[in-house]
Amino acid sequence: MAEPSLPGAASRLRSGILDDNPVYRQLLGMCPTLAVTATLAGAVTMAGATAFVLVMANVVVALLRNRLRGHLRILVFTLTIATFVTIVDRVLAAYLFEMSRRLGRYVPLIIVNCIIICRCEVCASRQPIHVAISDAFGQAIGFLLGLTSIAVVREVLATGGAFGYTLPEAWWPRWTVMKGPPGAFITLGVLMGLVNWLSRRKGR
Amino acid sequence: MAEESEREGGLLTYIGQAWLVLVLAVCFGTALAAVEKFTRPKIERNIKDFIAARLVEMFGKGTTTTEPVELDVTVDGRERTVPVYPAIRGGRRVGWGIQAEGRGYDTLLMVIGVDESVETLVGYRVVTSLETEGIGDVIELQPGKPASVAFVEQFAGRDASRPLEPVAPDKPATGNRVHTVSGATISSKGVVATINANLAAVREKLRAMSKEAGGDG
Repeated sequence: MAEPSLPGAASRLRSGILDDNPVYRQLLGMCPTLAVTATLAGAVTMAGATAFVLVMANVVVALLRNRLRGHLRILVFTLTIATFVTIVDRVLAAYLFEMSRRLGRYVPLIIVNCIIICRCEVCASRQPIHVAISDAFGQAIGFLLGLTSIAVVREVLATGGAFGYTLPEAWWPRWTVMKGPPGAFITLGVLMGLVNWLSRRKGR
Repeated sequence: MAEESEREGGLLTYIGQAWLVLVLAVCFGTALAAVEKFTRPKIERNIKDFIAARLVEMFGKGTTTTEPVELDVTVDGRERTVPVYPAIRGGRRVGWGIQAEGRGYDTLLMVIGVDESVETLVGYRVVTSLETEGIGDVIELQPGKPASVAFVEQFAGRDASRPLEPVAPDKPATGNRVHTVSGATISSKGVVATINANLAAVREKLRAMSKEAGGDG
């Protein structure tokens, strides 16, 4: 069933991390990228939740790919994604309650994260399960890198530390603006510019 | 006859097309029911612990609570079971924490603190909310944000025996009037409406329980 022209598992894994990075190259999943990167802990949890949904949705869709009907495929993708998002939402509320309260509104929003439905369409509905899993891990690692890179810059500048460990205010004046939406946009813009500059220098 | 066979054909075609979606819906529904059964007790315990911590904030250090009393009441015309947590200090019940559901911009779960005879509001705290970050979340107590502190703290000491009245920030907040927040009017009015509706529903039952306890004592 695999189309010979489509990339293999190793290529899918690699491209998700760098060349097709969901944050810096595809500009997908911008809502959590901007909203939950005020702290590193929030960014890592969101990336983990998204990774779980990505992998599980890709597995289910890849297993069903020969039975999917063209006009019903989006319905199947949405049904699958919504199920795994609900599972991750309940598990977070049960075992990471404080984090679940902080991320609250953004965890259910994973359902409309374009990265996941895009990978179901581009890869899982066309390629075998091992390629779909590699693809999901590649995109999940890429998303994790995207979120954590932004969160590190924002949290360090805003609080002088990370994970609750901070420098005294006398050593590092707090850049409060980095906690809010302006800080998110500024950091994303600067890092994206840096990634583009580095890519051009490498000729990618 | 031909029409009937056409209709049957249509139904079969529909099932033939959609069988995968139907099977998936059943499988996923079952899986979600299992996850709900497994996680619900843990989530309920988390909410109880969270509310116990908020009661300490509202009623002062040393406040403890026990399992909630469940009151079957009508809130805004709907039958509901409202859990009410006794706030206990020095071995004596000093008030109640009413677990209230309401709506701001979206679903809102909060705990409302009142004194034992439901005469005075002690405050409220948000348990879970889906209000917009940076706008509607002003209704949650955030020590670093003066607007949120001012909004939440204005509820303490208000008369709990009559409804609160939301007013615009440029009008005086005397008596039972409380200021809404510009830019978050729906969320702030949602808090007031939730407090009014839940207090109206449980007030008499709680007063009866207080009298009963007083009589026993």
